[in-house]
Amino acid sequence: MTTSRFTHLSIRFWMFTAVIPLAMLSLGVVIPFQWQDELPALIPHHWGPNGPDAFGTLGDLVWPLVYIGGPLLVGMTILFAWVGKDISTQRVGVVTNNFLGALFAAIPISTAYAARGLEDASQLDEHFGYVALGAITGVALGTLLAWALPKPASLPVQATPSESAPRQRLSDTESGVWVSREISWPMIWVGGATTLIVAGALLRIEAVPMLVVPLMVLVLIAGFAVFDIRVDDRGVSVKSALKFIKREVPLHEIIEADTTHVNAMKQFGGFGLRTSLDGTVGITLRSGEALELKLSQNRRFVVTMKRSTEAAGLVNTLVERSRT
Amino acid sequence: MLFRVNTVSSEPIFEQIAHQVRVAVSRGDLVPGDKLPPARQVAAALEVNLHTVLHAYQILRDEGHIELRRGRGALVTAHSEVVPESVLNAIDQLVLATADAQLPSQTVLALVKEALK
Repeated sequence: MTTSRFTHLSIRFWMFTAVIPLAMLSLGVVIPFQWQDELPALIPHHWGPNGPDAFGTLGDLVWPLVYIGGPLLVGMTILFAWVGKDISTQRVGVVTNNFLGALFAAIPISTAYAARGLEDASQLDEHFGYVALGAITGVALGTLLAWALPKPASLPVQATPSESAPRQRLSDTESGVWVSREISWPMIWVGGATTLIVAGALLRIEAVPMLVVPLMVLVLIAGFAVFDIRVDDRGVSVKSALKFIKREVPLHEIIEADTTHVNAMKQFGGFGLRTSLDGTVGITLRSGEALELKLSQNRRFVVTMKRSTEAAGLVNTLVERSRT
Repeated sequence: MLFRVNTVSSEPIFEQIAHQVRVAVSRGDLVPGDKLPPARQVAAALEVNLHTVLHAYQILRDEGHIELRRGRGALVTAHSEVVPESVLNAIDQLVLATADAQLPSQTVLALVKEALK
C-alpha cells in the first residue's frame, strides 16, 4: 500500500521537493560559517520593535534553524508524496518546500552578511528586506520547478460507468452541457468583513501602504469564492471567476461521476482548492452536496455544487457516449 | 443547469434553450430567485452565438419566467408556475406507457391536447 502510494512519483518530484530545498538549507549553514572570521562574537538572534534584543553565537542562530527546518522539509516532502496523487498537489509541495528552504537559509545568510565587519552586533541594521527577498526567490524558484514536473502520461479509461451511476437522457442527435456558477456567500461575507476591519485598523494607525495587504486578500477571496462549472463533451471544467484557479478534467480520464457529500473542514481542512489526506483534490466552497469524479490512476476530484446528481448524470452519459 | 440542444432539429436553438428553462421552472428545478447561468457562459458551453442565448433569455423575460437585471443577471421570477408533483408523476407514467406501447409521440400529444381542451 505504502509502496504503491509513492511509485507514481517522479525523480524530479523528489529532487524539487526534498533535495533542492535541503540544499538551500545547507547553504544557510555553509555560507554564514564562511564569514565567521569577519563576524562579531555575538550576533543578533531576535529583533524587537527597537532593534536586536537577543544575541548569541553564529551556531546558536544557525543550528536551531537546521533542527527545525530539516525535519520540517523532510516531513513536508513525505506528506506531499503521500497525498500527491495529483500533479497539482505535487506542485504545491514543490513551491511550499522551496519557499521554506529559501526562508530558513535567508535568515542566517542575511544576518551574517549584515553583521560582517561589525565590532558590536547591536549596531546591526534591520535586514528583513533580504529575508523577504530570499523567501520570494524561493517561491519564484519553486513555481518554476513546479511547472517543470513531468505531467503523468494520460491513460484513457476504457470502462464505462457502472449501471447504478446516474445518467441523463440524451438522444443521439442531442448534445448536452451543464453550466452553473457556484458562489460561496459565507466566504464573501466573512472574508469581506474581516478585510474591512483590518483595512479600518490600518487607516487608524495611518499605515496606508499596508492597505495593499487587505486589498490583495480581497482579490484572493473574490477569486476563490466564485466558480464557473461546465460539463460538456470535452469533459468537466471548473474555473474561478478570476481564472487563477482552473481545473479541466478531460472526458477520457473519467471512470465515473457521482454525487457525494463533502465536509469541507473535516475532509479538506477548509475552503478553496484543497487536497485531502487520501489524495482527493477538491474545490470546496461549502460543506454539502458535491460532484465526485473517479479518475484514472486512482485519482478522485470533487467540487461542491448544487444539483450535482444532474451534472453527474450528464458526465456519465457523455463518458458512455464517447466510449461506444 | 442542464441545457440539451438538438442541432438537427427544425426548432431554433434559442427556442430550445428557452424550452429547457421553462421545463426546469415547471418541474421546480428552478425556483424564484434562482439565477440562470450568465448568457456568455451558456453560449461558450453550447458553442453558439451569444445573441442566440440572449434572445432565449429575452423570450423568457417577455413570458414572465425571468427578470433581466443589469449587473445581477437573469433571475427566476416569483410569478413562475410550478407544476404539482402529481401532474409530473402522471406525465412520467404516460411517457413510460407510450414507450411500452411503442406509440409515436405525435399520436399521444394529439390525444393529450384533445383531452385538455
